[in-house]
Amino acid sequence: MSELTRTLEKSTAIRLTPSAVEAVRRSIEDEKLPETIFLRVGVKGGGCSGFSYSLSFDSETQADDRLVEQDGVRLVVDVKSEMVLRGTELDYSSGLNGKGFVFTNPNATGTCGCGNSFSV
Amino acid sequence: MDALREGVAFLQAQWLHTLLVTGPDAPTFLNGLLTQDIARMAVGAARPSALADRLGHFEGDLWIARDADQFQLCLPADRLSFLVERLDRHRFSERVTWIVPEARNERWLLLGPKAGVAMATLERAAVPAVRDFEPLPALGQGALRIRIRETAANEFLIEAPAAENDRVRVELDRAGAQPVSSTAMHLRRYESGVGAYGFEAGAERLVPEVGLLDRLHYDKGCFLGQETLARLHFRGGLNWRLNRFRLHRAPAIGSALLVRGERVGWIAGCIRADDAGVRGLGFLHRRFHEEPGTLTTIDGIDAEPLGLVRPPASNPETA
Repeated sequence: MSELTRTLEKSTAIRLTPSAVEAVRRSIEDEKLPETIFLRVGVKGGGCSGFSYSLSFDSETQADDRLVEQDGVRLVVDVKSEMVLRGTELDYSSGLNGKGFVFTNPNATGTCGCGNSFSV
Repeated sequence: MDALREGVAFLQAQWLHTLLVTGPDAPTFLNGLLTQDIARMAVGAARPSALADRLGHFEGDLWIARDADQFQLCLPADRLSFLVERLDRHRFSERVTWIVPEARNERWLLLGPKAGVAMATLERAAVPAVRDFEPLPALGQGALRIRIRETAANEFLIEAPAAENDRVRVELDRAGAQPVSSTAMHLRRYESGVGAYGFEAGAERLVPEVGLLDRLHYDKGCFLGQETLARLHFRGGLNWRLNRFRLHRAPAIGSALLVRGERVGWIAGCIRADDAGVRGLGFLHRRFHEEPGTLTTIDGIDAEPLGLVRPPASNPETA
């Protein structure tokens, strides 16, 4: 972890639904990841509408990361992504017709048909 | 034009400026923003590409050259800042950087049915290793320092330090290549039915409308504008396409094209041809793509349609 001091804080940047929290916890257990692991939520350039969401597990933070904890799940998001993701809800839908992790981003002005890419 | 059509011609592409893009995430980052299939480009290759917005509108055209550790994006100077702004806007935590190099290499286009033969002659004057895109070695006197990229059948992009300009011209002349003007290159483009940004089309048109079908790849993953462009390609619905015309005199740009008095398109550009006639590029509605019949411009000039040009087999999925 970076030597910079960060505070675990509630943030309005991204909110996980109970389904998403459960899905993340389940993934951590299934993959036998350490409890110190973070869920990195971010944005990448590219994709049909210009920007794409990214989700991954990470064990290291960078200098411009913000660290958030919600219901025992630790999230990191870089500063530039946070500007675009502020107010986003991350849900998880399972089952035969489930889409997996689903982002609802109030800043998005448009999305592609599959929902993975968005414009701002 | 004879050299372009039957022999080999060259032109110094002074309008091309370069942006160098590096970083481990450069291939995927660029692949998500440009229409060309960058990830599949071999080291040493150069390909044309287009810039599109999220709805598939035409925002620029450029060349991409892939080196071992970087990409060179070559485009007119007036679009360079637009491209940099586009890359800046879309970079988050990707490991990719870009710079405009201080030392500018010159680029030359070598084209024509005999360009391959001329290239073999030119390579004897150059250090063969350079063609493999190793860093330019320390050379003794006599060897010409150039990089050669084959961009299409019988088309080559030559890159050389500005200090080698005179040597390049001498060797191209020795190889039998004829210098051509930018006007001749535009005429070639008109004969190919392909529009250029800032000439026949801008952001008000869609990329495939302008004839840039060989720059669109739909199996490379998502890229900016892909959803709209793929829908148009696979489901049809492209209402306007750039067509080629022969006219006996130049119409005003923007002149309506008429069939039996009905407006079915407009003239986007025209150029004086070497047979004293005029060649035009105009957008034509899809109802008239296959059998346009007799067209006139609104100012009474006959416009003989020369047919749509299909893209080369190098990208059969867009043929």
